[in-house]
Amino acid sequence: MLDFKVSQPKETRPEPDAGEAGQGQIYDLIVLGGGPAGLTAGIYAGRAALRTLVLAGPLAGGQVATTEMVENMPGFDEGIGGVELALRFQRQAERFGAQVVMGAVTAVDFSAFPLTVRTYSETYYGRTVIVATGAVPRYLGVPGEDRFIGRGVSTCATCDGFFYRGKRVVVVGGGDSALDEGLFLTRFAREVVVVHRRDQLRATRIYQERAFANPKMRFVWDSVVEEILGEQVVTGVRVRNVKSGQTSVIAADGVFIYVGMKPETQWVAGQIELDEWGYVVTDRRQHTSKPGVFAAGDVQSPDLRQVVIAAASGAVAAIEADRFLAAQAKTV
Amino acid sequence: MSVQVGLDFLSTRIEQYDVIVIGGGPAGATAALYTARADLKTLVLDKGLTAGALGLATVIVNYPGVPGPIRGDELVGRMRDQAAAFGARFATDKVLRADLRADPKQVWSAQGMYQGRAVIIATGALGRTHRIPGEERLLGRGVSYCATCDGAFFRGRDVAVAGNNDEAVEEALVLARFASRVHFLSPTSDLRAAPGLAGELTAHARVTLYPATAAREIVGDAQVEAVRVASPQEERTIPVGGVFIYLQGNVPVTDFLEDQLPTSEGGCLVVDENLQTTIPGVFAAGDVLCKHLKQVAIAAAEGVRAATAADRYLHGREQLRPDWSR
Repeated sequence: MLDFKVSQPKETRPEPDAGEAGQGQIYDLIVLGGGPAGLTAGIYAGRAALRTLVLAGPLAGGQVATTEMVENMPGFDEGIGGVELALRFQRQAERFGAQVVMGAVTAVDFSAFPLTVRTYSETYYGRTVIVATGAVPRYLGVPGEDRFIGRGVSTCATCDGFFYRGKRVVVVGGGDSALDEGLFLTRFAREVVVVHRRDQLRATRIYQERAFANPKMRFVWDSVVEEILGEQVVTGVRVRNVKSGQTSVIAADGVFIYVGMKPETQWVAGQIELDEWGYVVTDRRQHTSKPGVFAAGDVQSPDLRQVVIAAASGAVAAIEADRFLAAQAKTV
Repeated sequence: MSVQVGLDFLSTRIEQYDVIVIGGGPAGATAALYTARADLKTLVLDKGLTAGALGLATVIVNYPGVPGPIRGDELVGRMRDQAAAFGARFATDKVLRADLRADPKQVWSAQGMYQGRAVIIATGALGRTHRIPGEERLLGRGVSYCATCDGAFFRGRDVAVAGNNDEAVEEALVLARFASRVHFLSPTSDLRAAPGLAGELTAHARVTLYPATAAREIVGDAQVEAVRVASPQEERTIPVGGVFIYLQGNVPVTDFLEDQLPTSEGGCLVVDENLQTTIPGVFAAGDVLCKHLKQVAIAAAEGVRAATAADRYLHGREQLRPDWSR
């Protein structure tokens, strides 16, 4: 069990070897983010006997905790609730000695060792950091949406498409993601209604051609969703035509929203390299542009937003952090 | 006498799939979970629950979400049940050959022939590094890797089986139906097989068990005539008409590919960033790539990536550029 406290002066940076002296002031690893990537990094780091702090951030459990039922995390043959899965990740990390605390990062300083991470109330120091702060899908912010996120309102057709066999779904958006996932949904759904706020699509031509050629796809132009309707389950959406101002109701069993994603990287911008969309750039072993700083999960991979992929990258990041520390110890 | 593998399958019914996954460990089972959930008709060919590295692992504690300890075969069993629940078909079968450039791609196994529009190779890395002297020369002339295929050729004759796992024991029991005697050469002093199977083998009247015994050489001119074996106590030559080999090593299992795909120095399959091999529509995941850490979660994640890439291949979605906004 770990028995050190994190209560050092707020402004003075401790000596890098303070932890060795038994003060326990510097963590071997600080993980930013408490979703599948961050907590799996905690599991692996804890098991490697690294003194590990996981700063779970404002949304404990990450995106998966917003999902009512996860059916595609391998090994859970009966499915598992998103919150329950996140709790299991956390318990497992804690069992191996990682310290998991709530608290959102407000600032970081990766310019010198030890690396510094600040929250509203504390300052933490680490020899290594894993950035696993995730990416948040943009939602519409309309009435009814919150209530049905994870159970009728989705941002992932790969995850939830299977539930809509023979049903009717609404897809909101007009880019590649909206059309690609909409086309994916036509394998299951009997009708896919794309609601787009303009009179033409933003998506690549090939996706447009496929979407227009698919008999299950229907388009509602110049329209925005104003409300997601339903009592116990989603029954439809109310849309407003932005040109005519007229509103109408589209009956649907599910709503898939593709109006963009936002990586949570505002706190690390300028300290490590980000791509044009704001995602952390990593190599295949999860190293960022800054030695000793790693990244895992959705914050560095906009493509496949799957729990086991995030978890695997968290495992790799923790193993690489451990190797980094071992290599440093050798050179001292 | 044993003939070249494959000829007797021409008459069997050919089953067609969107995706054939070869290997049912964490990478293969997860790939199947994802292709099945993408509504692709999926077949997984695997030698059995305990044939792979995870199946052999006694305790897993670091698979995320499963605090464990959990036995490896139980964890992989759950992954398979999960994929099966979404429609993936699992067949306990041994892949012998594949023609990956054909359209559709063709896979021959001990029990038949399958066709798939895409193939995911997830065969793991328990392949053998060394051949027994005489093994290659006498392959198809008494040396075999498949009792189910070739057992009937050895009716009334003596055969040897080299191995110690479930597969070796199961195959020896198949051979015992035909052969007059099965000499079972286990490289270890204990069998690494399920207790029930091991008990059935040791109790079988036509099986002789040789613990801690290595096959040193397969002897014969045109046909197998004997196998020379060594144990700590003695060295001896056993006259046999056939030798069936089920030994495990630690290199990627790619022998059934017969050099259709390039491998790196360690015998690992070479793939691009989407886990596609040099043949379009053929993907690989898990330990057979061996460029990564051997962790269950990592193999499973590669299964997802291979499945996604296979789906994109089948639906012409390769050019997808997610247009995430800031």
